[in-house]
Amino acid sequence: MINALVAFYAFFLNLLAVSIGMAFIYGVARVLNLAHGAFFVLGGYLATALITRLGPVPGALATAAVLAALPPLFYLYVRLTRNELEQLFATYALLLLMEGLFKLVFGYGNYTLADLAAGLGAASVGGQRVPYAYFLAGVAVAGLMATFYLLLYKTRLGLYMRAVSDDREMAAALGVRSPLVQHLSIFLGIFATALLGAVAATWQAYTLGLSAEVLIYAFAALVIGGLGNIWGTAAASALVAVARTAVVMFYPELELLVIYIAVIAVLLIRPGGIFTRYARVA
Amino acid sequence: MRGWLSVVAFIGVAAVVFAAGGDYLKFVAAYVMMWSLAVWGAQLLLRYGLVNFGIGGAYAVGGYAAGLLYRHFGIAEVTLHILTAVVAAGLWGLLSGVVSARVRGVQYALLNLALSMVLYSILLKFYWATGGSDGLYVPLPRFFDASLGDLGLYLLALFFATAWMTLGLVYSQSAAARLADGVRINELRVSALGAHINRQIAAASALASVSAGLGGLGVAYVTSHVSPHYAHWSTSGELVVAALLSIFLPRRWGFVAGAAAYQAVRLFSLQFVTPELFVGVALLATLGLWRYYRR
Amino acid sequence: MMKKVTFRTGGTTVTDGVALARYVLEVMPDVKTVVGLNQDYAYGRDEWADFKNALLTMKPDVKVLDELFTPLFATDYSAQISKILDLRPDLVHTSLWGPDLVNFIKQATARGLFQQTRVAFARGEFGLYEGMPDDQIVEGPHYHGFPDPKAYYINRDFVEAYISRFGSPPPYPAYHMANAILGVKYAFEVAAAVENVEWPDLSAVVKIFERLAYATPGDYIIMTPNHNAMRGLSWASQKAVSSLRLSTCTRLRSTRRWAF
Repeated sequence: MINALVAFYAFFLNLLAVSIGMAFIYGVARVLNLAHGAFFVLGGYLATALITRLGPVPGALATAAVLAALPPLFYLYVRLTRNELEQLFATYALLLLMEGLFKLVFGYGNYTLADLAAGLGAASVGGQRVPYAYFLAGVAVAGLMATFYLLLYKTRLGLYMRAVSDDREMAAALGVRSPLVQHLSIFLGIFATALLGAVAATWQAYTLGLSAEVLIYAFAALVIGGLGNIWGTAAASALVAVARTAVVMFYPELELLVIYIAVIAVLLIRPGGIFTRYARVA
Repeated sequence: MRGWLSVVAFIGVAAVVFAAGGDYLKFVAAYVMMWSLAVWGAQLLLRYGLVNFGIGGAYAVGGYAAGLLYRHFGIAEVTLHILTAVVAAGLWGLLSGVVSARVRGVQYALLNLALSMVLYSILLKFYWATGGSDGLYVPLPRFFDASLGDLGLYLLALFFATAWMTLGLVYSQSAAARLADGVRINELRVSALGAHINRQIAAASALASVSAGLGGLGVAYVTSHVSPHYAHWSTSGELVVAALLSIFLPRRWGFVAGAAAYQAVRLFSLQFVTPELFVGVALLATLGLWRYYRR
Repeated sequence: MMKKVTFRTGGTTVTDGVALARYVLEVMPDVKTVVGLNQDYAYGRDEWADFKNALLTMKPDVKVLDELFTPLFATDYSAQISKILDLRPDLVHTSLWGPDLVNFIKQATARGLFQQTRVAFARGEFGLYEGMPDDQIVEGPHYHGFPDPKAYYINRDFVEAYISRFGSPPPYPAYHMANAILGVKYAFEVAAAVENVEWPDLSAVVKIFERLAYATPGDYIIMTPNHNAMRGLSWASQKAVSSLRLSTCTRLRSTRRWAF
């Protein structure tokens, strides 16, 4: 039982890490970022490269610094597109560009911080061995979610973000600077994604071709939870993690299919997403 | 260029390519002409404003029609293959269209993606019947006991491409096309005017799937192989990108030009260490060019 | 036309499976339960099927507790590791390779899987450079330490040239490429000598290649008339000399069997 719980916990963290940033960006700025997976992977690559070279603390700081410099670039890039189709096209091109750059800059190897994380040791929970790195990752992700919560519900900027997420024009009519709020949310979303990618390097190996895999999982969690709803996405990640763990435990042949079946089921029954109040389907 | 003239010009170009080109160029030309049918299908749905990341499902259905018919029944007759591909892909398109017509936008894209990935998984898992990830061998088709050689296959590709150009010409004059534009621009207004939008979308989905299925069949002929990867979402992604490229061009022959442009970029990029970088830059350059000419 | 000029100088999953099964029975003659963890596509399924059939033919009372298949390039093996920890088999067979192998080794080490059960890696040679834990059964189509470079000059030259150029010992793909390139080279050279021309005709080359036998850095390959190769593999139990990540196994015990 403990083993199943650990498996669920690990996969839940995994899904949460990849989908939160995308939910945030889509919710407020309505930008569908096909290059989302590439930013996640970039965070992982950078963290591994810098931390193994500079040591844990300087490396982490260096990673954070580099990642903070990225979002404005992405924002400028997206600003150039005018409608959704162009966004799709441009972000797909960006995905390809970034994958190519990864190949040039980082090469073909496997980048992971798992060895460093294993050095932290493990706890024995209910007779099973659970590495401390998992707990640390959980704390990091929970900290990020708490930051999002504080931002969205306790600050004025968060209020504006929620307003823009609901109805952008109305918010603008009421005096909120909608474009600025959207731009800020893009910054934050990209930064959060890359940061989570860095955290995920403690259990995951980064290599070429991962961006596309990550994108699909993020998409699925996003749509199941309801577009642009962070808590919905979190709950959807939990749901998919439960489904996948159950499938592996009881009927492993379905594992290839489980996430797609979940998506189809949710889109057929409640297209707006499971956790939305006002479904935005069209 | 006027409709019929463009068709004739296209036939001329294809003839020149066949006469003057080497084996590789003929192969690429036949591949592009067959693949452009699937691009046409994706473009048709784009006209409704629907981005379909699951069109690979129909694409795979067409290819597997030939593969499975040959593997289990030994049938290599091209007319039977075409018939099966049309019926099977049409059914697939109708079902997926009915199911996905309730949603739009990202949900539509993802629902179709999930459907095509379920097909991918089925093709992968039932490997004793479908050959699994190894795929199936697709023989050179026969037309009433005569095997289509290189020339026959090229003529078949040319026939398909020109038939689809003609179909595109006829379609763009039809009421369905007007309706499609209307749905893309303002769905509520069109439905207030009395159109049954979901039915239209289902029908368009069926037509697009037939088109993609025949495209898949053709590509399977040209490459003599079909694999579950036809149904993977990355294949659909390539089709959508090529369709987006073709949107920048006149609809009549845009789909062939878009298909040709995408394949040319892809094949050219393979010589570099990072082909993705090259394709990404090329796509961005296209976007920039289009913005420049439309400003 | 294509079939005529296509040659396979590598082995098949049958050789992998049979060799691994025989070695497993040699080092673990009392193995009772087995779990398979492979990727869900043709290669993974073939490897598992060949290993399972070989093992069950040689020792019919072995019980297969479960057959797990994961999607190719899945990043998270926590659920599979949990299931294996619950099932407690004597042996796990896996043909995971590349990034999947690395992910699995790291995640399984963190969860303590290798303390509980032994794992037979059908393509594990790459894992030796990425922290393969002690006492696991590793099969690679090739290993840079076998045939011992100190005794076999072709391998010694190959390994030294590779290390001086790339900084680490050659993995099995390097050996595969060497096998293929050397095969083509020798086929052309022998055909040219036989025909007494500078550049031989393609059909002559094909005829020669069908019966070529040649020495390569990792192997001695005998080509057969149906264009497949008869060659060996290497496998062993991992015993690291130190805890360095790079494999410095000098006490690695390798055995070879011909299998075709």
